Formats: sequence, C-alpha cells, structure tokens
Amino acid sequence: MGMMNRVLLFLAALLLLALSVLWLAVSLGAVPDTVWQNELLYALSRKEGVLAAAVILLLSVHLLGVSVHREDEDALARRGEFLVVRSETGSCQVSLAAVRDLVDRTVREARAVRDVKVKPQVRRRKDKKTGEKLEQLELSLLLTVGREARIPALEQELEQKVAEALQRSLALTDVPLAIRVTDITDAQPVRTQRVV
Amino acid sequence: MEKEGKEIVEKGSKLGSIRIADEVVSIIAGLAATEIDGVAGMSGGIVSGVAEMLGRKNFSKGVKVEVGEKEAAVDLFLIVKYGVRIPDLALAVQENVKQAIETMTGLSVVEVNVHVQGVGFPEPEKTEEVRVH
Repeated sequence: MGMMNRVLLFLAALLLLALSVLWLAVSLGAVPDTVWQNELLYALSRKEGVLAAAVILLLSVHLLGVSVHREDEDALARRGEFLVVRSETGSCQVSLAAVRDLVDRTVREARAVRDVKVKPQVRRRKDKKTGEKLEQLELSLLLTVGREARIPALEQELEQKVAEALQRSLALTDVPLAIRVTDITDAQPVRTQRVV
Repeated sequence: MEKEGKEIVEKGSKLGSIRIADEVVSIIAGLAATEIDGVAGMSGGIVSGVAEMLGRKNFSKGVKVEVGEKEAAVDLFLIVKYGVRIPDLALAVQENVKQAIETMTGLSVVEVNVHVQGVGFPEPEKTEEVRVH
C-alpha cells in the first residue's frame, strides 16, 4: 500500500474513531438528546456538511477499491526499476533512483553546471515480431548553468560524460539523453578547498 | 562408507526432520552479498532503519527469500559503491550467495535476483581550513 493510501486510511480511521466516541457518548447519555439532535440538524442543513459528506464518500469508495485491488508485489517493486542483465542464476534490476544519483553526480562534475535535475524514464514496449518485452532507459537533464558556460560545448561534454558513466557502471549504450538549460545564474560554484 | 551413509540417513529419518527457517537463509544471503567488494550495503525499509537506530543489527536487511523443502529463491536489495560495474558486481553477488546457501543449507538455489536501489558515494575528505593572512 503506498504512502498516500496509508495517509487516507489513517484519516478514515480517525473519522471512525470520532464517530464511535460520539455514538458511545450518545448511547450512554453523556450528551443530552436535544443537544446532539440540534447539532445534527444544523450540520445536515449546511452546505459544508454536504461537501464533507461527499469527500467522505469519495474517500470510502477509494479505500474500498484499494482493498479489493490485487497487484503483484513484485510488479509494484519493479515499476521503478529496469532490467540490466539476466543470467542463468537470476536477474539484475537497477532502480531509477540509483540511475538518477549516478547521472546527477556525473553531471555536477562539469564546471559550468550549478544545478541539475535528472529525470530517468523507462519505456516498456513489446517487440512486434518476437513479442519480447523490451525496456529502454531515457534520460532528461534540466540544467542551471553559470554565466561562463558555452552551452553547445557543455552539451557535448555532458553527453560524453553521461554516456561513459552509463557504459562503465551499467554496461548501457545508446541511452537517449535530452538536455535542457532552464536557467543561467550568477552564483559561484561551491569549492571546498581554496588554497593548499 | 556408503553403508555407513545409508545407516546415518536411516537414523536421521527416525530422529525427525530438518527444516531451515527463512530467517536463517536470509542471514546467509545477506552476509554473502555484503562480502563482495563493491557492495556498499543492503537497502532496508523504515522498520529496519529504526531498528538499527535502536542498536539492533539486522543481518537479513534487504533480503527476501522463498524457502521450500529443497529449493530457495532470493531477492537482494543492494546499495552499490560509486564507480563499480553493476552487471559484473551482480553476477559476483549471485554466485557468492548461491554458493553460500547451497553449501550451508543443502538447498538448491533456483534464482538470485539483484535489485540495485541506490549508489553510495564516498564521504568527502575533511581537510583543515587554511586561512590566508
């Protein structure tokens, strides 16, 4: 179950808790009948009450759907991964987070790069002839560069560095790489050591 | 010797059966995986992280196993060191884990799947700050 669904389930459980406490209070006579009946009529007459009821209805339907939906745990785990190598002993899958970290580190080594957002994506398709499932990794880089950057030269440099890193670490070649410069900044690069 | 072997087996069947817990296979797999140079560590969930913070070592972190009577299948979730060649590392891990489990438990390992969850980067070296006067 994903994080969002856990949050929604938590909210639903809180709501049930509040309702059950209220029900107990009314049943045990802790809240006078006139008080809770007045409050209930007031709440039902308000537009906000209708909105709240609609939200609770949608929440309930969603959680009902989640509870009956069955998805293979392995499929869930593999959604953010792609296959690198398959051998007789088993397979090796690499998460997109690992690819992102690797490419991020490589790109930041370039002097003119001040910031980068790496977006890895896996395109899955079936080979029409063989029916085999194919996976293709694609990368896009959103760069913030310094004023000293020569963008065409920087692009070539980054294409080469990223290709080398992917070949060295993942044995991958011909990975499509889209580079977009989104900002130019005056900020100086951070250097940890100034003098020796 | 063979006669002795047959006698041992027969005695074994009278004494009872041997069943290996999943946890044991997980620990063997986890230790065998981390032995390989290039593996920075195993990738666990939030529960593993909290347990480690409380001082409890979890040798089966990042390991999922399916254990039958004769066979086992293993899924490993690793963090690898920056700069290693992942396919070669994965093959080495698969071989070491398979050998370790088969040697120690006698189970036949049908598959060892490696899932690389992250890349571990070395800590930057701390150098003394030199002030220019």
